[in-house]
Amino acid sequence: MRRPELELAGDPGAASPATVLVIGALLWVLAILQSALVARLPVPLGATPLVLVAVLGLGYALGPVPGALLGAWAGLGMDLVPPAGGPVGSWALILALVGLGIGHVRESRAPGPWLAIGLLAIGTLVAVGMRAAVLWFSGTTPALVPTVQAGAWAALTAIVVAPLALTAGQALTGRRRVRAARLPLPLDGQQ
Amino acid sequence: MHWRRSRTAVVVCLLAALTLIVADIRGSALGGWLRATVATVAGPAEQALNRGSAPVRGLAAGAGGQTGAGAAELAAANQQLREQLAAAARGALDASAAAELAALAPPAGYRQAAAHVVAVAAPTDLVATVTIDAGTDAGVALGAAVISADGVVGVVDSVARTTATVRLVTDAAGAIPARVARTKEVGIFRGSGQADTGSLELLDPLGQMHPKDLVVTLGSADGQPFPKGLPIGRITEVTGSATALDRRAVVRTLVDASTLDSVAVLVAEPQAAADATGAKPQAGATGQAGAR
Repeated sequence: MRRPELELAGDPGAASPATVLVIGALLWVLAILQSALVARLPVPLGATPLVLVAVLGLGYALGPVPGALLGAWAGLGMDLVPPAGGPVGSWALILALVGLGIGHVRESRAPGPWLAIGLLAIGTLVAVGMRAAVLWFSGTTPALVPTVQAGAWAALTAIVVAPLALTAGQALTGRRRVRAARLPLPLDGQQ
Repeated sequence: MHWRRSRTAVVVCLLAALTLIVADIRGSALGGWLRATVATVAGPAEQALNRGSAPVRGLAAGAGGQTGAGAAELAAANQQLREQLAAAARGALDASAAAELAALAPPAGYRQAAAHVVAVAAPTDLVATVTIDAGTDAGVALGAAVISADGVVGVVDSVARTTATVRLVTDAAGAIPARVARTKEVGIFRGSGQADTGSLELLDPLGQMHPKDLVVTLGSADGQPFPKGLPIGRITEVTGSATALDRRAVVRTLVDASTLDSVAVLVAEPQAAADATGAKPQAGATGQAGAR
């Protein structure tokens, strides 16, 4: 029922620089919260991938290009905020790719809200798999069991927090849609 | 923002990230510098969050500890209770933890800088690292050994003014020269990526090792990173056969990364740096005596 609204919200052409700066800062704050608070909780909760889900939600709401750019920025945060390990740049690459990917899926398939939640969980799994691949490439093969466990828990907890990320993304694009609706001319071509 | 005209920016971002990765793998100092720079701002933020969240975390850890029933789970719950005690008396080291750490006397030429864990790597990071609230201000240097009352914790991997990142012994990328305390057999201990296990491979394929044997650090001529004789863990199982040359022991580490809190960094004293290597082998012996 809400599908047309979500699709309408998909044009990210008018996100203001101020909004982008705020989102960028929030993504790094999330990275800090993830290491200092969330990751210290016992495992099912501790595996909640806050930054990953936020990037996937933004990619879903704003489209592939902003998804990739914000993903790269958020990934850089995860690469640098202590106690980051592994090669610097790995999360930047991975989150840029998953942000790009989910934006493309959204544009080409226009999935409904329920499917979107599934997409966020799948995106999380893909990201953890890519992380394992980058670590393997860098010469430190992560053990199979912890990798599978981390991926599975992260995907499950992603399902729990996905509605939050999607609602936030929708709020971002929704506000802009209202603003655009007040203008007498369509925005296309003006931005 | 002209998102639609930014496809070039996406390509630039992807290439920049790839370049960073390759540069970091090939040993560029840029990544380490970036991490240390970000840590000067993010580290204190994590410290503040850690102080604010200690009571909540204590409760969560307690709830998690009640689910298991086996001896290992009980031991873990025990450690969690100890950590909760420490968390309750925030600000300074909890008296009992401080006493236990003091019992592990630092080797000659070193002093202990007390610290707490303020942040840990997310499970999805697939690396075992933690941030501690002691940095260059407390004398912490790159490559310094980090210990706890239970045993070896890890090595300082990157350091900022008030915080440092420690690579735990359980990290899959780590390898520590070790020996079986009972038989003196020498080998290499490697992390498994799990919070409290690793493996030991002996250099001598026919060397003796059995379940329940204590595994300790081998140490080195200059005591870097670890002095000799610090406990790492206990062997729980020996797999493979000696003739097949693939024998290894599963080691349960004495330090559980998931409940780690009070730690100490071994900081080299200024005079020790000036002294040549002559005094150092003795340094390890002192550490072992203190651990007894």
